[in-house]
Amino acid sequence: MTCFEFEEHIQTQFDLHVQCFSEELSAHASICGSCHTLLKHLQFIDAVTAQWGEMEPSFDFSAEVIKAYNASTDAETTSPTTMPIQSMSALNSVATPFSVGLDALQRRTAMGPALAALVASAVAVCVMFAFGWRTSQSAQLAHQQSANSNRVIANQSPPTQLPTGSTERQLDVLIHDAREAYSALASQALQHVSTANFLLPPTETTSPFRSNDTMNGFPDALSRPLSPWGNEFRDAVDSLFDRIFTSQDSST
Amino acid sequence: MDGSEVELVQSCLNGNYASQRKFVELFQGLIFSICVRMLGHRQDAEDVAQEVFLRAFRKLHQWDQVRPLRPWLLTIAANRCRTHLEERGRRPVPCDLDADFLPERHVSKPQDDAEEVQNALLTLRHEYRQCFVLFYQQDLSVEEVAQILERPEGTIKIWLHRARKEIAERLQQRGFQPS
Repeated sequence: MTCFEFEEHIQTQFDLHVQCFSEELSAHASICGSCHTLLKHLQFIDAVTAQWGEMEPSFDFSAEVIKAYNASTDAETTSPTTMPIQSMSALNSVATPFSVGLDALQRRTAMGPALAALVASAVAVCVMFAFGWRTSQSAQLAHQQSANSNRVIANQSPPTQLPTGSTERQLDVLIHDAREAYSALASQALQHVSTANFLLPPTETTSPFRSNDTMNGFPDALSRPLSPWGNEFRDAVDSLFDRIFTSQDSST
Repeated sequence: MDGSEVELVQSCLNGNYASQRKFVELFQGLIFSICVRMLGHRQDAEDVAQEVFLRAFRKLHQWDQVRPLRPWLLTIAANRCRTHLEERGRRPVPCDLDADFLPERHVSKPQDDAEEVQNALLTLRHEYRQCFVLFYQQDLSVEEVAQILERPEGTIKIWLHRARKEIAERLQQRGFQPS
């Protein structure tokens, strides 16, 4: 007999709650140390478990169980969604004279959550609509304020009468841009003239870093035949520009 | 089928308090012992045993009167114990640092042989433990255990053999020598 066969045999004997072993099994156990130890341990386990008795709870278990059961059944009875069939039938019999049947009652009970969900959805839509309307109002106000500020920028002087048409406003913007361009062009031309130092006297265009070298390619010692009329010429140009701008402002 | 069990169940279904109490008292030792052996914890066993009876009362109308009542209750108890063990397995277990670092001689030793076997039993897989407890605690046959656990007899035999052998190996590892 092999050790595997020995283990199979004794396990089967223990499955049948039998403690009698054949001579063959006893002979194998006497010559095989591991099988002998296994047999001893299994016999020990069987002997210990045979003494297992019933245990009782340490308190009044039955009263606690029934109390918990009654509490759970009471909770189920009071819940409207888990109303017993008998209670529904009783309600139906009472309500029948008033043309309220069991189906209608069940339908109404089932419609409760649906109605609540519908009301909640409607409230949510209203809130969203109000929020959107408020946001659109704020955006419109900001757009209007932006347009007004553009008008103020277009009219440097406070206008006595605000233009009402978009064409007039565009015209104002164009005139404003043109005046800016004229001013820039005039100042640039004057700067070039001053730098070239053809017309103005040398004292007005001298660099703070005075030197004997040439300035912008024109030496200071160069003769300037038109220098006596330079100031008059500049004043004439300035007055011309002023007249042009003044007339344009008054026309607008 | 015992007629007294049918009458008792009918009386319980009618809401008779005395019958319900009698029902619990009749089977509480059976159910509580199984729970203690399975869970290895007395308070947990009381909680699970209470759950077993609550479930039994709720499902009492589904009980087949042709079959005996005891295996039906044992099936509920086995299922509840297995569920509780699975839930306990998912919970984090606090680490016992003292037990890890104290020398061997300070670790408490089982008081007797029964405690030694019980400690070894708690190291088994749930299925093996369930099978072993039902077989030895209630002195059931392999066939009855198979019916309660709703498994083939061959599976129950394999589980039972492995349970016995693992407990024996555990005892051997701890240096336990049976007299």
